[in-house]
Amino acid sequence: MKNRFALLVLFLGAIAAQSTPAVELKRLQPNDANQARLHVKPVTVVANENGAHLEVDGTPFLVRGMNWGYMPIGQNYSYDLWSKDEAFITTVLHREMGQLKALGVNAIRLFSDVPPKWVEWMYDKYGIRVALNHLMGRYGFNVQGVWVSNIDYANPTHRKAILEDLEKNIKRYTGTRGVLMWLLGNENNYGLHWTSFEIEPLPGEEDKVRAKPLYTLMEEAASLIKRHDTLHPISLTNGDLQYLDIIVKTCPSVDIFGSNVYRGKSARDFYSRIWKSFKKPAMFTEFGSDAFNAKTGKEDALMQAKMLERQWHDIYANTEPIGGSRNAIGGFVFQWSDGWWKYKQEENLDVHDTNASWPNGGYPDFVEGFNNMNEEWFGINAKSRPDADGHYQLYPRTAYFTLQHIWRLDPYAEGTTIASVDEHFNQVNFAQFDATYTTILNQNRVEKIEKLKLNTFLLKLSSNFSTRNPAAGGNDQLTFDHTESFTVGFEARPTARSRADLSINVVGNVAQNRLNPIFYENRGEEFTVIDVDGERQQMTTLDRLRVYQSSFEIEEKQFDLEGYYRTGHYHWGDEGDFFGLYRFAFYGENLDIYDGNAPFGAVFTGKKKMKGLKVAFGPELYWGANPAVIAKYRKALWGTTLTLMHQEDLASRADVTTSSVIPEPRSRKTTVTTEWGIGSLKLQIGGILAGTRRLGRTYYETEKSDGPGYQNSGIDVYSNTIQWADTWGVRGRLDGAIGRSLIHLQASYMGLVADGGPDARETNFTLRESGRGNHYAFEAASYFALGHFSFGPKGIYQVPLVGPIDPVEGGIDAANGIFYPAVTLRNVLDDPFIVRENRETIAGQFTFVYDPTPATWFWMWDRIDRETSPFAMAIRSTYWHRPTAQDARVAIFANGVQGPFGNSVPARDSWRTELDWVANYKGFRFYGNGFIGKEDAWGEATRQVFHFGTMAGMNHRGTSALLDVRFNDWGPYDYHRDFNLTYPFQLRGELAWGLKPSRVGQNRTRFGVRGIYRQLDVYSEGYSDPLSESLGIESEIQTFMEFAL
Amino acid sequence: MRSYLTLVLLCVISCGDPSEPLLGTPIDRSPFDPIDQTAGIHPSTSVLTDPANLYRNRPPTEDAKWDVQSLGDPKLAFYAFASALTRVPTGENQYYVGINLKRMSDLNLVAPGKETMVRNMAIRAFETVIEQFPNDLTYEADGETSYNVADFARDQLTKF
Repeated sequence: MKNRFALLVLFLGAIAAQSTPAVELKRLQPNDANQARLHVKPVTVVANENGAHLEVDGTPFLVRGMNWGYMPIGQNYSYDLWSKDEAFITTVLHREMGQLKALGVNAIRLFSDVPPKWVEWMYDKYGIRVALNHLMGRYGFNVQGVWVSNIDYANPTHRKAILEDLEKNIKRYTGTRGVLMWLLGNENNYGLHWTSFEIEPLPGEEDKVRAKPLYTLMEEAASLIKRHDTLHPISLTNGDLQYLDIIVKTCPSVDIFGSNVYRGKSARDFYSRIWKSFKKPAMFTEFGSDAFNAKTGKEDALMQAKMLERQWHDIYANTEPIGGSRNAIGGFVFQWSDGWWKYKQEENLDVHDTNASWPNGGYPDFVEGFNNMNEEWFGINAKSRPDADGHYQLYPRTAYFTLQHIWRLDPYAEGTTIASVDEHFNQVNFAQFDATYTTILNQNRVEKIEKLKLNTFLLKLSSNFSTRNPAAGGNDQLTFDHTESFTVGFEARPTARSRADLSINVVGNVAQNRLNPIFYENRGEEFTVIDVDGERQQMTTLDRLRVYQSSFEIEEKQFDLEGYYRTGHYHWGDEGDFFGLYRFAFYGENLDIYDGNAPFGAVFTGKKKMKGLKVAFGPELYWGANPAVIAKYRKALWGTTLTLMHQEDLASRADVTTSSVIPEPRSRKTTVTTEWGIGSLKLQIGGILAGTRRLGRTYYETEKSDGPGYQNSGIDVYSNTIQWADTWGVRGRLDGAIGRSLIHLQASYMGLVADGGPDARETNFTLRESGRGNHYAFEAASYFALGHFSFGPKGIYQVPLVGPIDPVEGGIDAANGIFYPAVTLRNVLDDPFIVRENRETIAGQFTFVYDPTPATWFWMWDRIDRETSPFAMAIRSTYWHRPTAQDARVAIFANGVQGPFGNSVPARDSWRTELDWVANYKGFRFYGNGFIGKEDAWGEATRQVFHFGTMAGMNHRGTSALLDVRFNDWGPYDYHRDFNLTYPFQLRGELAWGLKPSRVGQNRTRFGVRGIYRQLDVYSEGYSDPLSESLGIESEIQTFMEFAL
Repeated sequence: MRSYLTLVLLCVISCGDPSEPLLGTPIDRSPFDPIDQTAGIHPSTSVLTDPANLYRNRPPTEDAKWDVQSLGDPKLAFYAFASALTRVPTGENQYYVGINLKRMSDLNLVAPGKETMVRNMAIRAFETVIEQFPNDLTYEADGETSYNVADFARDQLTKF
């Protein structure tokens, strides 16, 4: 019909005219006619005085045909299924032919560019035959190498070119199983009138002069086919009955009057006129109805089904054994699935256009003066958008089920009469079929909705009442303020194997009176500036809208790609990253508190030929990381598993959010690791080469002097530079199970600058050697299980290769003009290496666990939710012996600047014992922890802190409660421990009721109240009365409402 | 053979040069010749690439920079405060960079041909205090009494 195939043919025709089939299967040659007959079942037209029918291998055959094509949404006429790889075509054909067969289709109409291989494939596997359609120059033709858009059928050169191409086609398909017939042209009679490829109203018979050479060409084509192929009949693909009188006179070799017919419910005189004047069988090469109602402006699958039901009734009623003109042999329904490209053909290819493009009074949605035929809605199947591979789903419309019912009746079966045909058609259950389609449609809509869905909605409103007494820097006045924070997030699933999410946070008012002033929303706090006139001005930042979190995942055949921004990721410690280059990156609430933007990057994971390759790259792969690329390749080789890794820092990070994640100097690291399985044990041996960028950098060493020493300090100072010998390290580890116990043995030697990362694997022990360079270390641990109890010790011995600096003041000998540099503690900003976590340490840790349900491993981060036993607990006690001092920690000072402390805490021992527990009782879940210890600050304070505390919580349905008490403990932020800021007493409590039970790490709708009460002394932040013995007191009550999905 | 080669390789990569005793460095008394016109002006860090800067590898400690300032050597003090500024960008460090630049300019302790450049650097240093650190304070030796350093910078600008 019309020009819907126009540009497709322009493209394909040009290829077909000059190409030979890419795939040549073992097929018969044209001159092997007898052999061909053995393989190819003949299709014949049987006609006599009473009527005509088609026979395949001697059996009457009703053409239950379909105009079939494969065209994903977003593509247009230039899409060519047959140019795809074999696996893709096979997948498409299996699915589509399977559905066609299930419908009852026995033939499809295809243009003669389909490779013969696939014609046989469809026939052999699904019994579906192909009507091969040569377009006979309908949309132009390549004549002697020149593209001619409008063929002149009277021009001998044009005719010759078309016939030569047809002959090539005939020879190409000779001996091909599954061919039903030849079709010639596609409404070429309309092309005599239309001058463009745009869709226009159907023309009349205004071009009889030009029509005659068209049909003499058709006759020559039919004769040509018959000379080569006597096994298949030939049909026209005319536009309705136009020029029937000319056809009758000029086309005696044509076997079937095939035509594209859009007459509405009834073909009326179509059959009778053909039989009366041509005495040939009649067949629809196209017919049907669109599924869009132009009157209502809505999809109308029922209208389409009812139209097709009547049209097929017309066909059945005119078949030879039933009655009427007795020459109907079936037809090809237009069409299998919607063509989203049809309207305008080049634009809006992924929009299901509802513009009607031509009028037709035979359809129920016709209104005089308006178009009603919606070209993009003729499918008896709707379709989904394609997935990443180009495959799409079909959604059978009401017409599909209607045709499925109709085609169960064989008009050529013995005993079939017009009465039985009527009865069969009356049984079409439109209501049921329409409901089935509606259900499918609704499922499709749900899937579409799921492609983009709201996955985060969190509205947080809180009010703060706080007070401080004079000793705490306040005036005993109660202050009030509130905070508004809103986070909304979406998840998109463009295809089945890709996903992305994005959430955004918006801050409204921000409370200025919180006792703990560092929190995610505080970026909206007011601050004071002094303007050029010296006036103090209160201002707020414009930084109120932030991307809160984002991630994406793409799964391809050859690789996976995932990206993350403030979305945590695991380490690679269990997959060969023996030196901890790619670090664990889940930071909990700290990421919000300190406004971190990590992790931020992407990971490429190779598959198939690239299996074993992983590449991570990004601005901040873990919190505090420099912009870097980390590549890992892991492969089983020579009875071992080999892992090669390289990290290349691309630049140095400048911004810093908290002292725990101070960026280290730009680095370059390479590691190689081998692993062997020895029974239930695993042996890993690895080497690292790192810090080569620091080669040649100067460092100082100090030691007690026998003489006056440097600057008469009693300390000798030596200078040296980083050399290759300082850049490498080795490590060996043996761990696994022996009987009922787990063992772990490890030894390391790490050069001065051979820095790796920490071992982030979750184990029963938190004590572990530093991944930093400049040390050698030994670790040993064992862990035993006895019934519900498990316990074990771990020990570590660690010594730096070059010890910490013993500081010496610098000076200037003004008389002699000599500058003596100060020898200060090393720090990560200025020195090639430091002594901190890698300081000399002998430490032991003992862990004891009682867990009646060991399947819910007690060390899991969400044990509060997971633990199912009535009671479970773990105690972990650690003692550190540290005989020597350490270098300086870098902190963030009050003015926001990072810099090293001038000193560090002295050499001394410390200890800590921790308790964690969970209990379940009649739907109540209790949990808690406790600690006690004598430990040091991270900065330079000399005061060692003895502190203890406990926390207990309860969850029951939607209600949750928590109480946390600490004595002489540091405050909540990193800088409290950096600067050794402790509080004599801290109390924190929360009571909340929510619509859903509390789950660790999940937001929920809840309302509640929380409070903070703390006492201050001279060691506390904000204590303002150093001469007084009175304690400062500050307290805060916060009410909160949180609404979440 | 392979074991022998491995041993040799290990020896080569393990052997480093021995440490040398740290001795003082002669102070460069030559006239001040800045490495570029941004040296010592926040946010430039070019002063750390100046070979004449004795603090280029390690900024002075908080106490050391005041000791140097009290020595009366404006060139050495410039390098001390300019190096500290790259680590700790405060109005105070920037202000003393300006003070020492102005002093070298006033006392003509500048390399020939660089007089105007150093004078302009001093002006730019004080302007930077006002623009970048308008709220910063500087403290007296008691650590308690403080002043707005931008006010001092404005005062200095009137003296050119």
